[in-house]
Amino acid sequence: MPKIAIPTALRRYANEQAAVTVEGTTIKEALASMTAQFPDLQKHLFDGEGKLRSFVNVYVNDEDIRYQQQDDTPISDNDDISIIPSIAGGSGAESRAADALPDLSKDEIARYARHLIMPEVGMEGQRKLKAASILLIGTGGLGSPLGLYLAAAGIGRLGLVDFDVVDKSNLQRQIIHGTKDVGRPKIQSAKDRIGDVNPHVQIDSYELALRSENALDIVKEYDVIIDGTDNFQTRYLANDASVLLGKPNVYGSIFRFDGQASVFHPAAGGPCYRCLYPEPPPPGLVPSCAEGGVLGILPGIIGVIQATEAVKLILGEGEPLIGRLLLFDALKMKFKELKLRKNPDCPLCGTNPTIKELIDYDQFCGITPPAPEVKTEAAADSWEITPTQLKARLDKGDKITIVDVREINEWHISNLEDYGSTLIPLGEFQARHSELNPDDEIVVHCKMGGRSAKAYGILKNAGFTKIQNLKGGILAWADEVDNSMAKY
Amino acid sequence: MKINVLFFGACREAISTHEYALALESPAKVVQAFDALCQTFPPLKNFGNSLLFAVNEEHSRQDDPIQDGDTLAIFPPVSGG
Repeated sequence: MPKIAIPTALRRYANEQAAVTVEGTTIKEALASMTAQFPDLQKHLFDGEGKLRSFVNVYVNDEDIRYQQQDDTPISDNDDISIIPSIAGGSGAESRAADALPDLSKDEIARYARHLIMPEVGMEGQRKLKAASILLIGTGGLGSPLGLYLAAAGIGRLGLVDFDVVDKSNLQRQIIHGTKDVGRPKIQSAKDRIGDVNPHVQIDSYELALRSENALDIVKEYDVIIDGTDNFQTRYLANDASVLLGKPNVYGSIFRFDGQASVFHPAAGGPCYRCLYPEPPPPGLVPSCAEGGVLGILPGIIGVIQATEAVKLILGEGEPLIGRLLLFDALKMKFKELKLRKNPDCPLCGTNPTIKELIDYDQFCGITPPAPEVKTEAAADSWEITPTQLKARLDKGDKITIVDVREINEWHISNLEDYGSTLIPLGEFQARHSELNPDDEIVVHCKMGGRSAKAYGILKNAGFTKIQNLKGGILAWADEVDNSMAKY
Repeated sequence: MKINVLFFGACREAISTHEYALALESPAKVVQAFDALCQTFPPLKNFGNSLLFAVNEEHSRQDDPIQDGDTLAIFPPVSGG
């Protein structure tokens, strides 16, 4: 007769047995035979309407019945049948048995009253949220609404990862931090604010940069991972660590007026970040928010979508964004959805994975210090010049053409017009570099040095030789040379 | 055959184009459409293997077919957070 393997979390309802012998010729009959023997399993596996709960996966010989004939999938005596809770291979909060969930105090019941009267949450759902742990990578634009709403919702334990300090330019969107927090570590500021929103939440602080060396140790402690980072290296790292540990990764990303969100969860049959974007773009090609700007409200919208998805995953309710990419255009005020496909050749979650451990993500994303390939005829023998060096040469009366490759809006905030600077935005640089004279000594700059490094490359390819990049951009100029200059 | 191409994010900015009608020999795959686009818009080449393609709002890969009247959307990755 067929046997059904019982996951550890449910064995207490099956007389501590690892496998139960059942009768029947289909999955439906086999499960009915199992719950007839162990009625306590019924409520853990099926909802009120007798349907399998969304987080319960049933496999016949390692094939998910959802992709076969569902309940009607035929079985024979030699088949291996297993019940596998979907999230994190069984460690997810939503798969915890009801009486293993923590109780709510009287104070918590009062606090969560609006959740408790909803059928989709109720007492059991709220206890699942309390039992759950979520890792927030980044406490910036996305991390702010995420931290606030997840804490308010009653998530039991929140891990926060960030190494940055609060800067005044963060306050336009990072609403977990306040004006009084400028200069403080973001982790501390976020922790204070979350503690005020909901003192019942346990906060684990990681004041560090997530790296290949520490990521697995941190990620493994959580049920759900949320990617609120601001760079490609950490996005690939968060994705890879989540996939390797079988955790769902709730993804969100923003730029100007555009946002994206999805849930990557190969362990539940969905694609991962690498299935969408096999390789990162060359450095500097896709501007960051610091370079390109972002509407301050946008991370609020996308972060709240991520928070909603995380809560749904924990409750085991609704349809998660697994296998769908939500695209938001705030200018058109339109949401659009792409159906995603798992890439069978994905090096991480495909059929023959080649990535089995974390890699060097700086190298993968091409973030290595650029080598000084070409020596210019300029006085300095480096491809870069510091603001202090540039100022000294200008003061000496050296004739240097300064080219600003930022956007016009940035020019209006601060510029080097007093030194004869010319504005040619990077996007127009290819078409307009002929306006420059190859015989002149040229220094290109942007905000921080990334975009002007691209402009440097364009000029080099066009045969210019006397070029240098302003190290650290106009922000470094403001720090080193002109403290009265506005920073952004 | 003709397909309609939509560009998003940094791609759109790199080539200053939102939408483009591309004429192609039939039958064609996504990769051929992209190669043809790179001829017209050379900066697209810089994006290498980092782009997400969608044909008629469905995630597609380079060797998927594309047909007359289809809409090809091209999304670069976004890193902001």
